[in-house]
Amino acid sequence: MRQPELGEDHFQTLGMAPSFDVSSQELSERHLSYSRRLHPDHAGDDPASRAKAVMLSAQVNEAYSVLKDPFQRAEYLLGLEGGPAASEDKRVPAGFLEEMLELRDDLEGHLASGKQERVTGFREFLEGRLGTLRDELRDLFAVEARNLPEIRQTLNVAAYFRGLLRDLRDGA
Amino acid sequence: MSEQDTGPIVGIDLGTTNSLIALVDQGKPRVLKGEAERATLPSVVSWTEEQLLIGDAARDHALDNPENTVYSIKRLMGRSLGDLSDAERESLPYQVVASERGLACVRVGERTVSPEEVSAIVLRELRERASRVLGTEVTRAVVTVPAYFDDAQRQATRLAGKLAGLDVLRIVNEPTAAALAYGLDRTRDGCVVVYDLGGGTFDVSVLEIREGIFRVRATAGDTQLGGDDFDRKLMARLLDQRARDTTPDAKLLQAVKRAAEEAKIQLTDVDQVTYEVRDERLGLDLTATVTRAEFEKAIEPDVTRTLECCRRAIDDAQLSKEEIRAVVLVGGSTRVPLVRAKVEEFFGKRPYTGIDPDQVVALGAGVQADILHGKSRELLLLDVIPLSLGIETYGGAVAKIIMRNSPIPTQAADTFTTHVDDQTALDIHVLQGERELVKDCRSLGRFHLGGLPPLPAGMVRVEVSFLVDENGVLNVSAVEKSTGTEAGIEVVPSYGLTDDEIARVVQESFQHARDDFSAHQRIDLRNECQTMIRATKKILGTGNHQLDDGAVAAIRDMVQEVEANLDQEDTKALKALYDRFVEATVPLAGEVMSEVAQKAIQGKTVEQVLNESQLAPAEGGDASGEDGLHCGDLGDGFHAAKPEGATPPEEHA
Repeated sequence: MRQPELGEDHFQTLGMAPSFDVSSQELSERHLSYSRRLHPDHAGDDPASRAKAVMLSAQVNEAYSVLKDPFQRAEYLLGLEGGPAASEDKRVPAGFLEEMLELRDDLEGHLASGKQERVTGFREFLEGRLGTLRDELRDLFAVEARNLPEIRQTLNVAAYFRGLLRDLRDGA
Repeated sequence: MSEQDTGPIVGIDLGTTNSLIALVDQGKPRVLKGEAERATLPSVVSWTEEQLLIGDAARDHALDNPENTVYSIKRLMGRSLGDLSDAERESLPYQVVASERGLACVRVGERTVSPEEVSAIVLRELRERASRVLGTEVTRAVVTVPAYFDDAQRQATRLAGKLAGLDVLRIVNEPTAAALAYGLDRTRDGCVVVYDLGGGTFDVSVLEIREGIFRVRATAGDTQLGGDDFDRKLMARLLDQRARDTTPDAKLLQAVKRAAEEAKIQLTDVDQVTYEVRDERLGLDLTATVTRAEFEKAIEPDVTRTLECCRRAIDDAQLSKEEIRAVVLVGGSTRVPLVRAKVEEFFGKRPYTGIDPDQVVALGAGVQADILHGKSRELLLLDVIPLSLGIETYGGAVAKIIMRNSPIPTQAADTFTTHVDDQTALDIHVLQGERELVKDCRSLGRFHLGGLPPLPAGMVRVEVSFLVDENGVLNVSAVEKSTGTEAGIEVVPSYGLTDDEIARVVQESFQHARDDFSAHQRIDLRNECQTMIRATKKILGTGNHQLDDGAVAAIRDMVQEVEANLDQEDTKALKALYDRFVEATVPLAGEVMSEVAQKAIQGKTVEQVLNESQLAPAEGGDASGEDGLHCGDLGDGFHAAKPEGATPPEEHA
């Protein structure tokens, strides 16, 4: 279903070179300008050109959604480079799962307390950890010879923190 | 391009409480007004014995005919009976039943009417209004829905349009439409929040406006939270006054709802309201007093829930409250002072109320219609999908394939494989919602992939593509990778109707309803005419009247004409004939009246009086007792219903 005129991957779709380091400002501007050009609302009444506009626009939106989030972007880049998928390699550092169990207990305690400052504090902690993980990913992608299993493991760890953050927000 | 494609495109706000229609005229959106110069059409439909009432007329009728007056139908759109809470069902005076597929429907008399059909009646009324005002047939529209409507609710809305003879070119989210109207009003770029609290739904959307592009960054909401809930609090207060052993019936509930609504509106301006409902039938006289503080305390949890949605939307938009440049209020319920105060407190800025909150959504829909018409190319709406889409995986878990707040149209693909040798079919269960387990999400449908090549387990690879179009509606296709063949997909939607069902409903429902209705009217009119013919003949036959020969001849001619045209299939013509008949027999009716009035005191109908009276010919016995003729009915126009029993004498005066 990929429309060849927009390129082979999400980066090409938005006219960019594959890289972890993309400016969110640039991504946003490209999304807007491509949307202005391709959105079905501007495609007129002809069903064929509308259908095509839906496909192209969907592709642009999919690319934007994936690339604007640093973790999804890293996951996508890892796939492009032939790295293992999350289902193929679930490894995390030693002791990490124990830490996760403790953090989950903490989360439930903060939520049960009903105290806004405890929830906010925990949230800032989780966001801080995710910021660190993002920086690690940037470094891992910055080197020429990528350590794909290491990237995989970092993303596996990030997935746990993202889950905690999501549950904190949904529970608050 | 066909003739039709060049016609106007209108924007319709199909609301829980009120609906409006708008379009862009000379570069500016405006709402089209209907009867009595009113822009809003109450989303109320009432089936009386004589006719189908829509809008204000239906709402005015609600107290007399609560079981057959349907309002807030939007709450039932695309939902199953099981989705409705007890409180919701109890607060609706009409009967909500399950269709064969378990979908929520309304029972009206002998008929089961789907929410799509009821909405179609409202949409058709608006369409006819627009056609009248514009002097040209309107067949294309943009219709708005709450941003938080799921796939089934969107499909239901689209179907309602179809039933109303409208090609729904686009389903637009209400807050997004509102932002479009707002953006035209104030053209500075920046991030805005649209807070939309309507009669039955709450939506909040965070948008970024940049050089004419309105990009939704996040949306959140609650499809079951609105002004109706505020009314319910005030209703409960009044109903608490009744004796425990009285069960509120539809009529009482309707009266209580009306009183509660009015009290709520008054509380916007005054600090205390006393409201009451008297019901002589049930011997009830309910009075309650509520202060604004008490009201605010009762609704505060609901308002807090809306603010939690706001917090989530801002989080999802990855913004902070400080980055929001303006908060736009939409929906009649934002007139409640507590709502305004809480929103202001939460965002730390005064909300913008420059556009009528009742009209802003319709105006925005009109603008979107103009964009689709190719007239406003500088503007563009980029909307998002409100809820994540996922597929059932092993063990009842849900794997997300498209995340909420992804811009639409959007797509995703997933590869599935067979589990056993020679498996030639696969079932895929698609769900919508944020939760992890199937049981907590909403089932959108099951996709059956057949015609797979018989190969060892795991060898068949089917790539299933999910495409969410610009309306937020899901489309699915699949390709078998090893052979490259398109797999046959059979879609069994969990909520929406199948294509066959849609075809049937389209055929049966709306036009049919009118036809049914019209046929019903004709039968009633014929019965009425026959009764009057019998009565007239009887009186004329006795010669016991003061009318001169000319008058008698005129009446006899009239009777002949009516008899000759009784099989008339044109309801309007039959009604006109009937009206003339009634008018022609007025002098005769006067003759009978004095005697009837006396007899009626003894509790007899005109028919009985005629039968007993010396006026009646000895052999005259063809009139059945059921067809009693009310003398009170003789002059008052259209009355096709079969009267029951005697009319109290005081009504004859």
